Amino acid sequence: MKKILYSLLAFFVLVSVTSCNKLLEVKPETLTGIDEGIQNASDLQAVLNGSYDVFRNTHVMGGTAFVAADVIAQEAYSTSTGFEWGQIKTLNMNLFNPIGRDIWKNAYLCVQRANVVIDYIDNDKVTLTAEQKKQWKAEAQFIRAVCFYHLVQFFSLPYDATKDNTQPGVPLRVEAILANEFAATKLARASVEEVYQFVLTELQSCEANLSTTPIYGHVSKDGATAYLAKVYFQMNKMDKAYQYADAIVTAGNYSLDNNWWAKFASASMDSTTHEVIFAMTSSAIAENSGSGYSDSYRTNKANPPSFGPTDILVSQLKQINTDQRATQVVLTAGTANVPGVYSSKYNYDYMIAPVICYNEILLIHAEAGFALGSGDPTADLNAIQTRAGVPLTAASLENIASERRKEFALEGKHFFNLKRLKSNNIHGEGWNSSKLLFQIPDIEQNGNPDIILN
Amino acid sequence: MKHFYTLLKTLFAVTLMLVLTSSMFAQKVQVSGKVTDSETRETMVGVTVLEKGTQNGITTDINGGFKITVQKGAILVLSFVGYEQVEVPASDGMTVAMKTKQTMLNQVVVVGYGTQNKREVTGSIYKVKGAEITSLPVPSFEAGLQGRAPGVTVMQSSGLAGAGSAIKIRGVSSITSGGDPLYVIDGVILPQNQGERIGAVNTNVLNTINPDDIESIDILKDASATAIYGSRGANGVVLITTKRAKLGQSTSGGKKAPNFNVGYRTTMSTPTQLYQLLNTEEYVKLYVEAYENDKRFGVVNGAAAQGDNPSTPLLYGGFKVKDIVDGGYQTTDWQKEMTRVGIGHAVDASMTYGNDKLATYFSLGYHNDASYLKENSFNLFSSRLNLDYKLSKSLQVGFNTSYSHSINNLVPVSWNGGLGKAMSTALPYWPIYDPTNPDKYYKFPQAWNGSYNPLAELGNRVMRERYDRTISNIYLNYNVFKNFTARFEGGIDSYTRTYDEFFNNVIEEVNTRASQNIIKPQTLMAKVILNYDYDLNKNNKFKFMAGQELLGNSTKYNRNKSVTFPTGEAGDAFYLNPTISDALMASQNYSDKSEVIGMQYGFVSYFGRVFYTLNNKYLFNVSIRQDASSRFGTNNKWGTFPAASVGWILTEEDFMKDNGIFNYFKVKVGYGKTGNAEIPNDAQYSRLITNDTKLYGGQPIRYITQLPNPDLRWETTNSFDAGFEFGILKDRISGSFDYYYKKTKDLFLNAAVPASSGLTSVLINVGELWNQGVEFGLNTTNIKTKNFSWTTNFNIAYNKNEVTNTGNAGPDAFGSTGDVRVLVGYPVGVNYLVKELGVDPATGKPIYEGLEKNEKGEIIRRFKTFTYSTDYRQPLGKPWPDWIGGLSNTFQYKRFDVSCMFNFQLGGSIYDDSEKYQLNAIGNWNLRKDVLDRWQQPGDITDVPRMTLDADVPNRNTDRYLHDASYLRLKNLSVGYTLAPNTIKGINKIRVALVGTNLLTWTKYPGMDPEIFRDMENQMQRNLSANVTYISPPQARTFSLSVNVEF
Repeated sequence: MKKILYSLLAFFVLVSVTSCNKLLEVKPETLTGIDEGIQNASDLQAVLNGSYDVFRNTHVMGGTAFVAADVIAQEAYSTSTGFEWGQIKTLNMNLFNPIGRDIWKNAYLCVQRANVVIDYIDNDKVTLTAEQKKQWKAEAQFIRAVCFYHLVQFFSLPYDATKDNTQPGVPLRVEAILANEFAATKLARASVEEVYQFVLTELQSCEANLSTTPIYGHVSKDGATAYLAKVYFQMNKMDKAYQYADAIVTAGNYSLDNNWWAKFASASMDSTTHEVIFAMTSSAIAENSGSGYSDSYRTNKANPPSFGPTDILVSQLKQINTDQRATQVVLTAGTANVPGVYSSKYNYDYMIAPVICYNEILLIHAEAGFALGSGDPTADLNAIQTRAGVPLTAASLENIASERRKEFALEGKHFFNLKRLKSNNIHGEGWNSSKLLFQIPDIEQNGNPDIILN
Repeated sequence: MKHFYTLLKTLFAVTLMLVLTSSMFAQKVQVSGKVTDSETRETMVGVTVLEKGTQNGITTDINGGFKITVQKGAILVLSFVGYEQVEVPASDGMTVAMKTKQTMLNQVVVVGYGTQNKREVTGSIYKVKGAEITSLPVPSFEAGLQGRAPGVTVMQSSGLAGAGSAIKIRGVSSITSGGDPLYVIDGVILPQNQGERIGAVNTNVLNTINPDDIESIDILKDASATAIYGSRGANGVVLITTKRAKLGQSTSGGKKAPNFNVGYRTTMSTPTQLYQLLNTEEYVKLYVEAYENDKRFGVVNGAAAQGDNPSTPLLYGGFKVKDIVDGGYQTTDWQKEMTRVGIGHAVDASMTYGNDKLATYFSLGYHNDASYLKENSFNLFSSRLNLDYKLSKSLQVGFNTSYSHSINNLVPVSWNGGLGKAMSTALPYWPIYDPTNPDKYYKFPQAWNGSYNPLAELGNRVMRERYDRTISNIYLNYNVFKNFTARFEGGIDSYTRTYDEFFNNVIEEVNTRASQNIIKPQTLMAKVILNYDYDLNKNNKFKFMAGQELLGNSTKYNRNKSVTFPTGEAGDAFYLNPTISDALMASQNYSDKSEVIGMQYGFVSYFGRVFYTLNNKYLFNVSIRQDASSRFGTNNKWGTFPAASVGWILTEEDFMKDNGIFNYFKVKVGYGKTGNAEIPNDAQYSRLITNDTKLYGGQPIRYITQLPNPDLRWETTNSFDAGFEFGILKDRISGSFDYYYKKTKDLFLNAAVPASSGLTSVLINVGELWNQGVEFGLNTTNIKTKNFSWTTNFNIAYNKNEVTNTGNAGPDAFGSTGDVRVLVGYPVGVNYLVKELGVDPATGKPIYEGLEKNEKGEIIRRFKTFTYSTDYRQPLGKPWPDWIGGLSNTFQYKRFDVSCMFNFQLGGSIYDDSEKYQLNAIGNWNLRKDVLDRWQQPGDITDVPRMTLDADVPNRNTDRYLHDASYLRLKNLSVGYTLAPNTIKGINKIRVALVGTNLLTWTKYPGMDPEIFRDMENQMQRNLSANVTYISPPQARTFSLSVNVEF
């Protein structure tokens, strides 16, 4: 009888030893972990694509953030009854404002995804060719730099608001977060100077490493050069802005399209536009990169849109009745119930999201050139005017500014231009007023309670 | 006093001398014999055998034998703790069987992996006998526990057939993870009792267990009792023991014949209460008044939306006020139309038979519970065979097998329609039938969950859940040597759940559609338990137990079928095997997908316990369990859960012995650590998602959604328990008192991290909370005469709960319906609402309390405002009751018995989430009659604001809908009559009983039924929204008649 017991016990021990591991290492078959999912070059490329996917998010480069910039600057009106737009319309953005929260959340999500790519490349976690390493790291650095630039525009006082730009910028998150404990790291806001310097250094590194041949949907060397011009221009560093803008203009790789709207109408930028230096691809509704613009403004849907150009912007555009841009941007479409002025600029089911285009570089070239006395600012300005079908004028700060406002109508650029020009009336506030900023959102404060608030 | 002792001593000495001397002259014989337990037939060690009237005595040896020299013809008195004293004439070679004393304190209670005498238990365990539950027509056995066990809160979701309950033992100890106790049926661990979500209800995984098969339920409450279940013991453990026959039992009137028990019960079910809603006349009057108010006060969203038509505003559905007035205010009582008197039946039959080798319990049951809701029924067919077989003196095998098949015909309720619609958006002036076509139901004009007329849905919107389930185990018990046994056990809980939905096109003139989901989860267990009882000597007794347990849960497959029939074509639900043409099957209107899921989770455990008794009065209990699970991260794979408790039976001490009052008094203290492992199966792993449909540049995108958490572990509860148990006047009065403090840490929470990390929260073990409370239970036999007896059982418990850490989460990080939140310094699930300060007499508008906060979020000013803002929310109310309890009285007169039970709740609040629609703007909801007290003109003092058509007003969660949840309820009342044995030849017993449940209720709650529970989709909502209701179906009031025959 004891034999039976011992053999049963032995059996149990055997069963338990073999099955213990099996029982304790149950992993759902449908679950892919980080290590299994990033093993080779194509996996890492998919992760980089994941970063681009957030980069085109409506609150990053996809449009909504820029719609908010136009509503703050009173270039666009909003009839939305949502409290988020209510706060923006009255410049009372608090920590719960969903627009501010989503700009913060998505820009940083994009940074985190770019950081993962950089971490994998720097630590040789996957096998890549030297070319892939160089190009992909630079692409990730570009995405990250533009995200920090985007954040510092919405959450910090503008450049030059304090003497040494010591005003709080945004936290510079540059480490890939691959474990929970790092996610909890509380980073203070770097100064605006530090953020700008980081962005510039990164973009310069991108410029050195990015491919000179454009890759569909991916940033190339010209993208970095153009963005450097844009950042320096925003800092009012005209010599550097001119230098980078001039590099693009001189190389002659880009030109203005015949039609001002061609770049928005083209989901595939190769065939119809030569103006885009870098934009997010869009080839189907599921891959729409500019939905933030179209969802806000488009008029060819069942319901009238909740956003449109304000009367002041409309009057600017209608100053000259031959202005092509007026007919495209302004549409008096209302229904009997809800009359109003709307824009048809973004009337597309899916569209690219331009990040940097030649017309912007041309106007930077004009204004920086004018300030420095370099180049031919009038020629630059006239190129823009010719395309718009308006009478040509000689370059002056005023003329360039007026052209800029119309050229980029409803693209969210006017707000930042007013800040650059240190306007004392942006929605009734001075250029360096913190009322024009979003508050550091609750989702940051919850985990980082000591962060300095606006 | 001193003299008294001296006298006693002298008397004692004299008596002793007399006895001794007398014995010298008497004729002596030597008698030897054996003592056994009358039930187990096992020999008994240490029984005192005394020659009656003498001091001549001895105790039985290790084999239960004794040898004693006595006077010829002497009487032997045998006594043993917990057994009835036996007096027998001495005769050589005698075997004496001793019976256990049937008192409260000598019950055998089931502890984890074994049993213990209640007298010796040092943990907090409450036993409920199956008979107490089976006598009630409850939808599922766990509902019958309500009001019985101190500190056990049973929240029955509703009066639906087969409806489930949530049970909280000593408060709630979790936020996001499972909060229900661990259910173990005959040693088989069941998965968490959450059920499947169907519409607005969760179905119940426990209703497949036939209450009639339950012998007893033991509820393990404190850590020293539950720590043996380690990482799954923190919410308490409910041990269910099913009925079985006893080996060697002679049954049926002394003959060795099977004993049969047949019962039949019929139950009549009605709702305890329904809403008092406006009739058409009142509705129209208030509608017109609201219209005029809006005109008068210029409410933009109100009357203006209707256009300017002052005399006859158009009512919803295009009805004109004038026509309704002319038509004589025809009212449809939708609640009445949707309800009925449900008539249910239950038949249970069982057979018990035991001889020396074989013990069998076999049962069959058929229950057809029909609720008060039309078309709602729960049908259960159950069978059980429990068998024990003695292979040899030392080897016993056996099994418990059950198979049940249940069909739950659900109906939509609450927000999902049905009665919920009748209580809300079915307006009183709407007719049942289409005025232009009386053969058809009137089609509702509103698009709220479809515009179905709830009556049209009856029979045409099928939601049918079928379970085929077995919970079984098999064991081998081997008595290796004296007092050492090894038990091997294998268990299985396996079921197939088939859920059918069918939507007939007659309701909405859309296509008929059907879907079916079949899922097959299975839990397999294996364990070995070693038991050794070692009595060092009479005063030092040890019981050792050690074991190992393996558990694996897997899901064989998950299959989903769905079909949309072509327009105009009829179809059937899948369970009725509809004809589906080949063309339809090939089309995109048909889909049949199945996936193999495989292993879900596993547990490996080792456990052990030592129980030591010193001098029969000092009790020491130490247990430990080590658990490992696939759910835990690699750095915390194993958890150790120790517990220790001590007890002291004061009545065994000389100073308490023979005190004349207490026949039993025990104090006990215990401390232990338990866990809650009901965390998601895959939370420890990182997760990378590849999105193949959302592309970038035509290529797939991939991203991280979850970071690895190798530190992930169970939630830990450390608890302390101290209490006492007593028996007074030979247990005429017995009771218990417990104090406990439970501190839970490592709560599995989405802890806030800075969003600049790219994440807003990570799931980690970070939260903390505590529960503390007291429990008191009392059983008294008030009167006991030959013909009449009266016994009382009373219990009451207090619990307080507070969250102390949420990992810096913001106020909206954890929430559920009804604006319940998890806030530091408040109980779990506190209501987070705007305070309403009444109605402004001048304008009839509600006044809110505005809050001004400083940068730290502290309130620095409170002010009155008409503006509602979520910024003004503040924690209000008490989601959990302060006191809960029950009071039962049982009266027996000759062959009649009457028993009644009250249960009560004191303190706590209910948040009536539907009330905001029922007491405010008139329009697409019918309102409660309470609104007749509304504000009408300046100067009116009332708590009901003026009527408006502004549909925005109700969407405000304020404390106006927060109510005192205290109640007292006559839970059940039963009257029975038992026929004397053999009144009819061959029949041992016939009992007829009449039982009523939920008969009377006293409460201040103005809503409907104060016993509410909004059964929620996930574990967190189940923990948080316990005090929230939303037009939930009320409890059932039932009357049932039952007959039980034993032969």
